[in-house]
Amino acid sequence: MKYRIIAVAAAAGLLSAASSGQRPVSLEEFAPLSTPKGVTIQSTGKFAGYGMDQESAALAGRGPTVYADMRGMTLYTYAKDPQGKSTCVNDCTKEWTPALALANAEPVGQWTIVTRADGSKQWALRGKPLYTYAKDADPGSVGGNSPKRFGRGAQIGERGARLAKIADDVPLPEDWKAAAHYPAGLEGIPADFGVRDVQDAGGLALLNDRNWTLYVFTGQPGQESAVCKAPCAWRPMTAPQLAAAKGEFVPVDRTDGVRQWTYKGLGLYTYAGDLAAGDANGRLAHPNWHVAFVARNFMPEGVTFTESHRRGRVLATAKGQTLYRRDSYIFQSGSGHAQRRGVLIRAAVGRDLGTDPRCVKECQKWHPFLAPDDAVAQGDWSVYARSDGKKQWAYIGYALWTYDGDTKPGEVMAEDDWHNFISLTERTDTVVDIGTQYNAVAALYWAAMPP
Amino acid sequence: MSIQHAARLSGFALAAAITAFGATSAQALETKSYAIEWFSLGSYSQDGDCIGGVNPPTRDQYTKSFELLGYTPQEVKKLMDDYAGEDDLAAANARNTLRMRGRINGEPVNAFVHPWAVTDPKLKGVSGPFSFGFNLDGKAGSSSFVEPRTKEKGIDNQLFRALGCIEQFRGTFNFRPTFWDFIWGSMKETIPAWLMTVSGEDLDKDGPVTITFDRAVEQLVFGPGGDVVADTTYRADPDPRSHHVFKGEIKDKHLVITEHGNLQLLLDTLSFTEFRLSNTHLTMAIEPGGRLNGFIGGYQPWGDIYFGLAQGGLAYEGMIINDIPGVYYLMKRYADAQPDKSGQNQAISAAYHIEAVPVFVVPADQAQ
Repeated sequence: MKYRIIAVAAAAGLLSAASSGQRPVSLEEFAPLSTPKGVTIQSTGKFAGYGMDQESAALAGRGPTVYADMRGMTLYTYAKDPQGKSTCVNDCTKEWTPALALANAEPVGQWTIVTRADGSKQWALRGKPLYTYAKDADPGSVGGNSPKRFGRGAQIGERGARLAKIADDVPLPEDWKAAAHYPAGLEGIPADFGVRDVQDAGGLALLNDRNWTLYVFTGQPGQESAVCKAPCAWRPMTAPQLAAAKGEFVPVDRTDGVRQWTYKGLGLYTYAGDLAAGDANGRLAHPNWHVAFVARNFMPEGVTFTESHRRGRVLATAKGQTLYRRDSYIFQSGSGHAQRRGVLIRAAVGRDLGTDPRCVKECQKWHPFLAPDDAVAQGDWSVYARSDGKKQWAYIGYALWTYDGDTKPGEVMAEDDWHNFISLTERTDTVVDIGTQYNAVAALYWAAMPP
Repeated sequence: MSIQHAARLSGFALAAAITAFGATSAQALETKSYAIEWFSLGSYSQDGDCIGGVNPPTRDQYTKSFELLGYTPQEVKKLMDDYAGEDDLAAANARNTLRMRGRINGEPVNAFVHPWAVTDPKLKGVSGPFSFGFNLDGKAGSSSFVEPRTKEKGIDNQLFRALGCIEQFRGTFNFRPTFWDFIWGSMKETIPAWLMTVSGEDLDKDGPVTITFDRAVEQLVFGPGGDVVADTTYRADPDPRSHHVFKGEIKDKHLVITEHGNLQLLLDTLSFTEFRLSNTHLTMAIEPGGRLNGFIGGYQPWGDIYFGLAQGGLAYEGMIINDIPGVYYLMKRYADAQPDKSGQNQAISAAYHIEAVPVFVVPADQAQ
């Protein structure tokens, strides 16, 4: 309640430019993390990366994602559970295992902790206790339907071309529902808005009715204009005169006569530097302008973003050194590989490769991006155990690496460095089983990791 | 046009281009840049250049492949009927039999990954006397061609010899080969453009020049008619892997590389992941409108080419390439440079037809 009072007061201040007595709002305060420690986000269906056909290669974005536990197992809610209490006990737990919180877990945003009858602590999302399902065998499975079925091929591995019709989804038992991360609605959202996983921004963001990313100003209330040189790139999201407040969304009449939407007490804006839906270029314009997050994605300490000429925004170390993934070749009829986000991120391929990049050249220049010993999976980030006993960060399934050839922030000197695994002579040891080839050749390459 | 274009290269663009692209001489007073808008294997296909006609179409090759695997005539007929039939599962299994037609110790293996494990279908190569290209080794041996326009002997373009009897690779200077029309047409709108920058004292006169290759950050820019737009500005990627400088000259309205080093340009999975040449040669006519039109060639690792042809697997083979392991054997047979310990040549002479349109180029890290 205290937060709400601060936020609404701040909104009135910034929009009327009368900011006496109010304080700026931190991004952390405005937008909670989308996942607590130990809860991850997983791609489902074809987007997990087993479907290697042309349709999959042409898919853009990440597709549907669900909340999952540290192992990547999808989390579910039970319709018969009342708010804040689990009724799935005894036999029910044989199929539906309560998703227990870590010992030191703390509530975050929409995530709370409920205490079960046996005293154990269980995660709840928007008040609903969460469970995993015994019939789910691997990350990305929903209702026991593994994404591996999209890549069946008896003679050439699980990512082989289809030899039979893909089985229809087995429906979930009644009253059970996967905890969707995206697409997911926002309760109490007015018709003028949408919510989208804006990957460059790093979270679920509010969009206007044309799917343009929305922003808020978190600096000193009333100072938006002071950090906006004419012509101002920040345009208020106007509200219809008849618009009424709904939940966290409140239309406010500005002193200049414009009626503007606010969210959590902060005025909403579009940015003139965004050229297409999904852009989030305003994130770079000023430290106090932020994407209007519904929820921010977790980022481990020591991970930043850097801007590269060739790849745009990519993940980087604290020093700005680009973080790479090792990825496998995928046939792209019609090309598109060289375009930003032109290649489907396939978590299953990253998991197959694990911490062994099958490095062929300049191997001494490649270094695992290590995680601290106490690191825990969270959001899109996993922690892989290495053969040397250390831990390595992985992002959307791909273990991350740095390259010594990158000497300043923004360099991506190893981008698209390929090794083709083809045996042109009578040898069989030149081909590695990376579990990804479908009907053609196999190859691995290094690629800067986009957010 | 060339004068106008050079005139436009005053101020920032000229200074930036000279600064960034290593005009090696302080006397370099003029710089022109180009974006490559067309790229294909230099082909000079003529009637009668393949003894007995071109190689059989894919369907006939597949029949032969099944026969080479030891299937009976009845089994071959059934598999071919399945391959072209409407029963999806039967067709998928026939395709899989083709895909897995390699044999290692009697076990089926992916024919595209292990082309040597497939029996050589003995596709034919070009036997005609003419080809575009360059005399890379300074010799005029029995395996070399004659340049059809200049009648120069000793032309090395064994890649054309290897592929030129496959229907989709046949073409001439003005009749583009189907394969390259498809490949370049698919790639050109999504790959970063390839850039050339020429620097010299006076680019309207004969004399020494510096020729620099770079890769752009941007893709080619097309006009409403589908042509690449001239005079667009591109940013050169600072990645040194695609930055190469050659000494050359302008002579008789032709741009020529005179010191033949290595070239490496990142490309795309749809063709070569990297376009790598050694002993790089280039000759391009400087056309009255300012465009360049000619050939670039050298020795290219044929493994790179094989990856590009095999990466589409059965889909490519069925539509375009005819017989991928067969192409492997062709390139292995006609490769003519860089022998390994066994004596097998690892590189093959090649010449590519390229066309380029005048543009502006600035370094990416200095662009506004």
